[in-house]
Amino acid sequence: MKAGGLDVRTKLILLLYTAIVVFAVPKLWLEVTMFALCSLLHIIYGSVRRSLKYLVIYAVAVAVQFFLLPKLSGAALMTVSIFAVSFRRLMPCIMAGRLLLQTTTASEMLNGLQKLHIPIEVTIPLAVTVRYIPAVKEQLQHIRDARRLRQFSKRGGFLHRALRSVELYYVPLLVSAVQMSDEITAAAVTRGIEDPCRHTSALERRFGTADYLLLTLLAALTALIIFTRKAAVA
Amino acid sequence: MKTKNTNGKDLITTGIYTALYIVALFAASVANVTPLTFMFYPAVASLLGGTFFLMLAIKVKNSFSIIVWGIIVGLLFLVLGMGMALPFFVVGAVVGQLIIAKSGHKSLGMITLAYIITSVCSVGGYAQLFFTTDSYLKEASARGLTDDFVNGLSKYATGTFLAVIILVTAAAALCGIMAGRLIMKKHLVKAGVI
Repeated sequence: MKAGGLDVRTKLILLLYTAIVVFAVPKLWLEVTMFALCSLLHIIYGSVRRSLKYLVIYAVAVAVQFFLLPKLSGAALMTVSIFAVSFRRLMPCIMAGRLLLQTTTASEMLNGLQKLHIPIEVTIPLAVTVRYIPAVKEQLQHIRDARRLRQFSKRGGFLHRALRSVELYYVPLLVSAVQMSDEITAAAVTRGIEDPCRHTSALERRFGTADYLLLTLLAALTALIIFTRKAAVA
Repeated sequence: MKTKNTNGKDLITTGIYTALYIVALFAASVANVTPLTFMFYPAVASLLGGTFFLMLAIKVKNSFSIIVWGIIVGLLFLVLGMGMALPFFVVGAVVGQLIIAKSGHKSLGMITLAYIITSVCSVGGYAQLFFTTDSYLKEASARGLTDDFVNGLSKYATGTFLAVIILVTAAAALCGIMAGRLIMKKHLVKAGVI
């Protein structure tokens, strides 16, 4: 499987499947399976180091749940369990999401969603949202640096500081949002975003062997879940 | 409810404010640390997100952007394990959109009302806890949450507490919009960006 091998629709299905299954069926083996599947895909796509990083975090979280949690109590237990259990459960979803975001270009995503007959009124805001969140994070970092430089955080009482800090974060964000929306619009209109015709793409994707393989795997997993449920009931 | 000609600017602006709203949601997720504050997550989220909703409602004058916002944020809830919030949130957004579109995107009161309705709907994400309490708690402990956390949750699974959450969320949504209004007046209108 070469880079970009999976169709964007398969990645979407994988993300939704992971989100639904991991939270609807609270079984550790299932979570581990989904985690392993997502790490494998990350490795196939070439990000071995990130995959290893996730693996270490995940393994530590599982180990903490089984060996450390029974020995803790009170506030420490609460805090540790949030990170070890609640956050860990999110990891398969985060990985499936990252797979979708990092291996799909915006145009590929728009093309795939168009094939699913999702109206353009939803797909374009979705694509912009997904691409803009990292930009917001970067801006927040810049704002934080600027604030620290001017030592805003040290003035006034708690309430005053809290209100001030909301203002100091929101105003630059909003101003740059207004500017960015003008710029992105200019770029997108140039590329014919307002054209009412069906948009074509130079890179037409079809379902390939890898897609069918992954979908079969997910179907098999679903069957396995239903089977173990029935076995548990009987 | 489609406009005939696609307006690219509206679509992109919707995307940008949705992104900002989602970042506010991430910031609010600090609240998930203890069982008590966990229950007030919708309130904190709507407090922080109010400004961006207000901007979205004022800037984008069409008949579907709020619904699209609701769908995208709802999908995010689904991916982050609050799948129950998705249908509630989308319904809330549709109602909000109808209210705002009817008032012509001008009335601050109507925008506030729409935001309060949508925010209160996002409390629906906890429906399982309140209406199928036992199975929800069993599930929570099967997932490996500690007994303390689960006991903490079970203490709050009462009708009174639900009413408290809804009221607090509504009040927080109101404050969120007010804060947005203040920021707009103080900075953005003067700077001419609105």
